[in-house]
Amino acid sequence: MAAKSLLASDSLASAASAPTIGTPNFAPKAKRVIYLFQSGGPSHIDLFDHKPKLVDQHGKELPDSVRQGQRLTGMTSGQKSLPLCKSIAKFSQHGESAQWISDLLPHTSKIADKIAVIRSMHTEAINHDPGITFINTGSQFPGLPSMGSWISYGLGSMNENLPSYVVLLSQGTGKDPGQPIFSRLWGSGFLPSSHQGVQFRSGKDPVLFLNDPAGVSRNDRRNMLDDLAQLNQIRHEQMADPEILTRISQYEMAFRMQTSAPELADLSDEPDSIFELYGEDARQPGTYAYNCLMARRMAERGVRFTQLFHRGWDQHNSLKSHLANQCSDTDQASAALITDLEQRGLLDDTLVVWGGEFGRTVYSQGKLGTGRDHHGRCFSMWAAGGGIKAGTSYGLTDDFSYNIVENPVHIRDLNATILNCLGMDQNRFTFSFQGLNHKPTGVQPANVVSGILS
Amino acid sequence: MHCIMKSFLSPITLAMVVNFWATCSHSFAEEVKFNRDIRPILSENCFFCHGQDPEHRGGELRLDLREAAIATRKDSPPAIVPGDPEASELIKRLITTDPDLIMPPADAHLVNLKKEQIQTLKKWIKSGAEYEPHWSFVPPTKAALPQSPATQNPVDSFIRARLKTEGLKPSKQAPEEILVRRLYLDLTGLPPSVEDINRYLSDTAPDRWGNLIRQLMDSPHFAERLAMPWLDAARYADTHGFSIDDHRDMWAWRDWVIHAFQKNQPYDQFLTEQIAGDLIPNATPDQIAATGFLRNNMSTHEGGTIAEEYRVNQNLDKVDAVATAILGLTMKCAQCHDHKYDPISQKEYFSFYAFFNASSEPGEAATNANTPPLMAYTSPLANGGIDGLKSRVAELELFKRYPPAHLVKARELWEAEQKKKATGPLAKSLTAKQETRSTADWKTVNDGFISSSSPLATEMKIFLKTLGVEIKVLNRDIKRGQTTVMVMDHKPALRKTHILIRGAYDQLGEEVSTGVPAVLPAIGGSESSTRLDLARWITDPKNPLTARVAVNRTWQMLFGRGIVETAGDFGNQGSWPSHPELLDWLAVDFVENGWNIRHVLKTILNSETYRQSAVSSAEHQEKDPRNLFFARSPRPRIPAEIIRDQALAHSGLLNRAVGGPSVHPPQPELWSEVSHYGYTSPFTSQIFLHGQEDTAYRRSIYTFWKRTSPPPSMVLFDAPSRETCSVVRGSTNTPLQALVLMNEPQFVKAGLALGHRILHQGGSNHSSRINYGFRLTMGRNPSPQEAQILEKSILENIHRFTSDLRAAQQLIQSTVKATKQTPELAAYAILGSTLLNLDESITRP
Repeated sequence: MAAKSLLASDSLASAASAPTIGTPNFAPKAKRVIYLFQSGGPSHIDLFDHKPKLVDQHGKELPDSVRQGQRLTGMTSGQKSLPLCKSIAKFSQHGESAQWISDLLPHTSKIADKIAVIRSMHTEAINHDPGITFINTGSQFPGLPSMGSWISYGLGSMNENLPSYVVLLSQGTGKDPGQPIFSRLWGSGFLPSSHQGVQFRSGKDPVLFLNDPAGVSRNDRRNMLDDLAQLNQIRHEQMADPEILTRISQYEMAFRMQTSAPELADLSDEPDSIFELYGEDARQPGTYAYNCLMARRMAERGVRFTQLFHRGWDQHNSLKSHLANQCSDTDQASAALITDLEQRGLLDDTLVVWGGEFGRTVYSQGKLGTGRDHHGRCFSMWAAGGGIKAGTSYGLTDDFSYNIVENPVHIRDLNATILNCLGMDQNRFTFSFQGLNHKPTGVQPANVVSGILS
Repeated sequence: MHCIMKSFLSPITLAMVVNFWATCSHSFAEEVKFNRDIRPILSENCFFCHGQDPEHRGGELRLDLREAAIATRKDSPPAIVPGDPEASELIKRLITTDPDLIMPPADAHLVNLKKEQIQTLKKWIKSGAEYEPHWSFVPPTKAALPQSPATQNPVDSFIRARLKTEGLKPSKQAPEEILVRRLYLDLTGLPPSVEDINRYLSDTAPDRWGNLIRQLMDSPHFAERLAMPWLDAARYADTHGFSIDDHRDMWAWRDWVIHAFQKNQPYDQFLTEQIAGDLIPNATPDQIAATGFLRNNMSTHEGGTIAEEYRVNQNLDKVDAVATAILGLTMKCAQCHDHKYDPISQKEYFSFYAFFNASSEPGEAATNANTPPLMAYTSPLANGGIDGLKSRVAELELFKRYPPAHLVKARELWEAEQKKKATGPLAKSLTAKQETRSTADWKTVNDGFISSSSPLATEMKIFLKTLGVEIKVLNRDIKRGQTTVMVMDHKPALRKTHILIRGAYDQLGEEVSTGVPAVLPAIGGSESSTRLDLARWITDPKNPLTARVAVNRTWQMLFGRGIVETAGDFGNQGSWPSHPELLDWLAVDFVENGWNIRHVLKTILNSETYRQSAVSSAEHQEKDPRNLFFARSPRPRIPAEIIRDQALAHSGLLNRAVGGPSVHPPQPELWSEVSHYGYTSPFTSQIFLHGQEDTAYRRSIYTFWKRTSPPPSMVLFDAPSRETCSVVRGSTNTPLQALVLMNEPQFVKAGLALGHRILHQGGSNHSSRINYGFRLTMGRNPSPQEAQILEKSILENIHRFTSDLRAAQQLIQSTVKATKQTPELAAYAILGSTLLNLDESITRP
C-alpha cells in the first residue's frame, strides 16, 4: 500500500514534531541498527574475498575477458597497464563456519561465526561522492533521505531523551584526510527535518548547543523552562493552536537531553574490562573505538539508528601501510561491539552492518602493489545480529574478484534487507514527494537477501 | 479526526486518514468534477500501469484518455461505458472479490479504493464520464467574483464564498499592533521597533495600511525578503557541493537577485534574464550575470570523475530547477522513461534538456574557483563588494596571530622555550609582546614554530597554508577590482542532443532538437529554438503555468502554504488547489498588471483575509484543523533566517548592510569533521574560520552556505541544503531547535543584548520594562498574567544572582568587577532569552 500519511507529502510537514508512520509492516527481528560505515572503499581483496589463484597471476595484465569493457575512473583509465595484484595479506579460515578472513582483521576473525559476510555486493557508482550518496540514500543524486532518516520516520523513537538517529564521525590513520563526507549522507531529504541524523561530537558538548551558557545553572534553566511553559500555555489558551503544546513538550525533551546526552558520553562508569575489549583507543573521544562504545551505549538507551562514519579507506597508494592502519583503527572495536552487544543480550534485536561504498580493483593503481582504484562490480560487507543468519558466507566472485558469479547483492538489496530485519516492507513504505511515491530503496526493484536472514 | 500525527498509528489507519481528507475537502452534494474528484483517484491508483508510459502498460489499456478508456479492446469489454457504471469493467474490477482480478493488483502495493471513491467514480460514469484536460495545462481566466456584499477585494470574495460553502465564518481583524508586526515580518523579514508600532497606531491618515505597505516595499529589506525563497528555488550556495566542496563565487548573482527585487523588475524580465540573459541582443553585464541562476547547480572535481557523466548531471539539474521552480512540473520523472502521471514523454524531456545542452560548461569543475564560462562582474550592491573581500582578508590574517586555541597553546609553549635560547631575528621578534607584534614579527614567529619539533608544528603548517590559499583566492578578485560569476554561453555547434536511454549519460538514443512538451502551447522562434525562445515561451501570457506558479509561491510566502500545496508540482500528482478560481484570478491579474509582484502582494495584503486574527477556536479545530479555508490567519513558524535576523534586530545587534560577499558568523567548527582539511595542497572552505564583530551580525541571507555542511542553526529550522531546487520548506518543531534558541552563542548574545536594551530603554521599573520588552518582541503589551510571570522571574533572578555574583558575571559575559547592577542585568539577560524562546516570538503573528 502507499503508506501515505497525513504528513506523508512535501507540503504537509507543518503539524507535529516528529511525525512518523508508526508500526512495522510485520514482526521485526531487529529494533535498532548500528551501521559501521567504512568510508572510502575498503579493499575486499585484502580483507574478505580470498582469491588464492591470484598468486600465480600476480603482475600479469587484467584479461579483457574479465574486464568486459568495464568503465574505469579517471584515475586509472589512462593507465597503460592494469597489472593484477594478489592480496597483500594472508587469509585463513575461522570458526566453525570456516569463513575466509584476512590476517589484517584478527579480531573480526574471532567473531566469524557471529557474522554473515556478503562477498557479492555491487553498485554502479565508481567515485566516492556518487557512491557514498547512493548506498546511504538510494540515489547517486543528492536530495533524497538517508536510510537512517527513513527508519526514524518509519518507526519513530524508542526513547524520550535522545534523538532517534545519531551519527558519529571519525578519521582513520590510514589515509588522512580521508575522502570528504557530507551531511546529506544523514540528511532527511524531503522527509521532515526532525528525522535528520544528529551529529554527535566528541567532547563535552556532544549535541550542538547542548550546554547552557556560562552562569546559567540547571536550576536557572528549569525555572526559565517553567516560565516558558506557563507563558506558552497562556498563549495556547488564547490561540487554540495545538502546535504550541508540541513546542512545550519539545522544550521539555531538550531539557532532558541536556542531562541524558552528557550522561551518555560519560564513560566513567565503564569498567577497565570494557576498554580491554574495545581497546585503549576507546578512552579517546573521537576515535572509531570510542564511537563503537558510544554506539553500544546508544543501543542501551533506545537510539533507533546509530551510524558511524570512519574515513580513510581510500587506498590508491600506500596500500600496505595505510590499509594496515585502517584495520588497526577498527578491527578490535568492531568485533568488540558484537561481543559486547551479545554479552548484554542486545545483539538479538540489534542489526549491525559493516561496509563501505564500494570495493577496490584487483589491478594495481600505479606501480604493482602500491595501490588499488575504486571497484563497484563486487565488494564485501558484513552484517550481524537481529535477523541475520550468523556464520554465513554469501555470494561468490570470480577468481579475480572482479565479477560476481553467484548471488549478486545490489546495495539496494542490502537496504531492502536492513528494512526487512526491522519489519518494514520496502515496497509498502513510501512517501509522496514531487509526484512520486518514493521508496527508501529508490525506483528500481530491490530484493530482500533471504540467504543471510535467520 | 485529528490533524496531528501520533506515532504508532498503523499505516492502514493513516491511509484512511488520507482518504478522509481527500474526500472531505469538498462537499458531496456537488456534482462530480473530473479534475478535482476523478483525476486524483485515477492518477494515484491507475496511471502507473494504465497511463501514458507504454513500458509498464497493462492489458493495453489507457485510462488517461477518454477515447481509449471507452473503446472496446480486443477480447475485452470497454473499461468505461459512459452512463452505465455497472457495465463498466473499471468498476467491476474495483469491487470484485477475486484476488486475481481486483484492481489495483496486490503487487502494486496500493490500498484498495474506498467505498466513497468507487461511489464517486460511479457517479461520474453515470453522468457520462466526461474528461477534462488537466487544470493547470489550461490557461487561467478571471472568473466572475462571487457575490459577497461586504467586500471589494477579490481575495476576500473567493475566500468567503468558500467559507460559506464550508459553513465557516471569517475571523475578525487582528489587533492593529499585531498586524504591524505581521506585515513587517512578511515583507521585510525584520520586526518593527516599538517606535514603528506606535507611529502606525497614532497615524491618522485614511490609508495608513497602504502607506505602510508602500513604505516597507521601498525598504531594501523587502528585496532581501523576496530573495530568500528564490535562493532556495535557485539552489544558491557558496560551494560546489560535491566531494571536496570548495568555494565558488556566486554572491554577486545573489546580489543581482536582491537588486532585481529592489527595482521591482517585472517577473517576466526577471525570468528571461536568468534563463537567457546572455542571448538578449546587446545584453548588459547584469543580464548576462543573471544566467548564474542556471549555473547554481552542484559540480565536482573529485579525482576519477568522468566529465561527461557530470556534464549531463549538471544539465539534468538545470531542467529540474526550471521545471520545478518556474513551471511547477516534475519533469525529472521523464528522465529515464515517459512520465507515469503527466503528459511528458522522455523525448520531450530531452528536447527540453537540449536548451541547456549547448553551453561550453565542462563536467569537471574548477578548483577553489568558478568554473567557466564565467564573467568578471561588479555586484550592483555594496559598492561592488570589494570592500567585503578586503575585510574577509583582514579576518583571515588575524588567524595567523590567533589560530585555534590548541595551536596557540602549543605555540606559546614553544615561544617560552625559545625566549631562553633563540638568537637572531627570532629572538628579536619574540621580545615584542603578542599584542604589539608586527606582521613581520608574527611571520618570523610562525615560521620558527612550524619548523620546530612541536608535535603540533605540522598542524600549524597546514593551517597557515590553508589560510594562504583562502587569502590568495580573495586577493585575485581584490586585485582585479571585480568578482566573477558563472554564466551561460551558447555554443550549439559543440554537440547534438540525444535521448539518453534510461537517463544514462553514455547510452545515446534518438537525436532530438530543442522543444517543449506538446501538452503546453507551441514554442515560437526558428526551427531550432534557443534558450531565449524558451524564456519567451515561459513568460508568454499564454503559458498556463508560469504566472500560476509564481502567485502561488507568493501566497505561500505570506500564509505558509500555497493555494496549491505542492508548490513544485502542478501536475496530476500535485494537490488540487484549495481555491482554484482565486489562484487563476490572481495569476491573470498578475500578468495583466505587467507581471508586477508588488501588485499581487498588495492585492493580498489589502484583503481582510490577510488581516484576520490568527486566533483559532474549537470549531476551527474541528472543521478545518489545517486551516485549508482561511477562516483564520495561519500561524506558521517563521523561516530559519528570519528567526535569527529577528533576534539580532530585537537586541540591536543586527548589521543591516545589504549585499556583498558572503560572511561567516560564528558557528561550531563542523567543516573539518567532514571535509578534506589537512590535505597537503589545500582547498578552500574546508575549515570554518569565523568572521569578526562587524560581519558576525549581518542578515542570514548573507551567511556563507557550504552545501556539505550548511549552517546548523539554519538547517535545524528546516532550511534546505541548497543542493537541489527546493520550493517548499518543512516546518518541524524539535528539541534541537529549543537548544539553538536557548544556547547557540549568537542567540545567547542576542538575549543578553536584548536584556540590556530592555533594562536601559524600558523605563525605570520592572513593570514598564516588561511592557517595553514584550511589545518590542511580540508587538503587543503583555496581559497582567503574563507580566506577573515575568516580573516574578526577574525578582527571583535578581535575588539568585545577588547571591552568586560569579554566575551573574559569567552570564553577562563581563570581565570587569561586579557592581550593584550586575545581578539586575543578569536577570534581564534571562528575560531577553525567555522572550526570544517564546512560541509567539518565532511564530507568524
